Amino acid sequence: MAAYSGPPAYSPPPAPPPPARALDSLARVLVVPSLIGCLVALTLGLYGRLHHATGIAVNIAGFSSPGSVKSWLATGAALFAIVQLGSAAVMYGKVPRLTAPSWIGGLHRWSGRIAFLLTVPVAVHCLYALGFANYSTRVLIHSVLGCLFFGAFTVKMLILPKRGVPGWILPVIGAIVFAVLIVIWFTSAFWFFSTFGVHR
Amino acid sequence: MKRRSPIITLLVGAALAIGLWIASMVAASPAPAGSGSGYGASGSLATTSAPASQAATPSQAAGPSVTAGPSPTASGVLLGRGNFAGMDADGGAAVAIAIHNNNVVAYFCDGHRVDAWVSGVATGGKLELTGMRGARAEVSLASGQATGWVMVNGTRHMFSLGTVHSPSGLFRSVAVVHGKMIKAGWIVLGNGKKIGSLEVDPNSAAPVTGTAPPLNVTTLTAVDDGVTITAMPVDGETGSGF
Repeated sequence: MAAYSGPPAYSPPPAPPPPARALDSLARVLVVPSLIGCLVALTLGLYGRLHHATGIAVNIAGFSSPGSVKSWLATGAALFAIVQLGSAAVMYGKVPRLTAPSWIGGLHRWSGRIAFLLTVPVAVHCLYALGFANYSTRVLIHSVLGCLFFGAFTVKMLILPKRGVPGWILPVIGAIVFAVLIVIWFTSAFWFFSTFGVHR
Repeated sequence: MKRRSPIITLLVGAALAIGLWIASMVAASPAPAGSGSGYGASGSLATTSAPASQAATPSQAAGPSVTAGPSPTASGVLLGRGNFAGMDADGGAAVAIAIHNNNVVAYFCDGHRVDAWVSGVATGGKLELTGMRGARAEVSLASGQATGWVMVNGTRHMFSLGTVHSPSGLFRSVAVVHGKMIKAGWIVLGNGKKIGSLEVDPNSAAPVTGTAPPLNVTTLTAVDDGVTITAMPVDGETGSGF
């Protein structure tokens, strides 16, 4: 594997208001991924709302309830998300006196993949068994952000391979994905563990 | 390769989601016996412990009834009477618990095909409840909250419930509709939301469970298959239904 060559030219804070032509090309890069991301979030939300929640989904052996399985998976995802934040900070040279080691890119990619894959079974259970619900503020926030998370993640994945993306775009979208995931974790797993205790 | 890997990540995630979604559809489809259990634990259909028909102890005045007045505080409930209701931890099903003179009736239902009645006697703020087809629950009462779990069809559902008062709470109807015995339960949450399930042939090893017809909380009636059935509150504060 080639040595890590650093993130795509990220020079200090974004330049002053970009001229109209730059904005134009930025919009062209962003519009399709954003629309697809919106579509993903909307599809999940509508499915969760319209599908008759069954209360049943595949269960994982060894845990006391679907709630605890999901809480542990979500906690795993949140921990890998923190690795994401840390490795991104190192990649962008935001950690003083630490030069990015060659493996940091791989760490960032793999922690992200694992975090994402950990969230998938949780989301399937939420959407299939429980649906989009709004019976309390916590549940409403959780439902809305749960749908938005997969939309935002899709946007990030679709923008990653694009060329000519301004350097500040990926950190901003990454930060949104991270923040949304952490709020989802607080409104679900944190609530679950603090209500029922930390156990399997 | 590098440019495609984010797309591959998305596709792997989508494939995993579709796989789990299909597995969930298989899990949720009714078992051949009509038990409606999708948890794969339907082997434990052996009817254990007390039957769920909690017609026992109609004594309202008996027992050390120490109520805490209109608002059952923790200790008030602990010593005898109160009603709890709310959604379970997953938010997919409702749970209601009625306690009258330490006799306890609890109901769990998802308003669809999973439900269970459990009953027992409260001892020192701890409830150990049992029902038909292996259903059981453990609940502890503290600070006006009923926290615990109920095991239905081999799956444990956690909950933490606050107190509720009439007209919120638990309602039950046992009737014969078109020659078949039915047992319906409704949980009316504190916000007025109603969730109910209905078992046909409730004392069998595998009753067919479905959504209960809408309950009119004013007249306490519901119309099942063209037949009007009457519901009764299971209310720990008044003793109705005990």
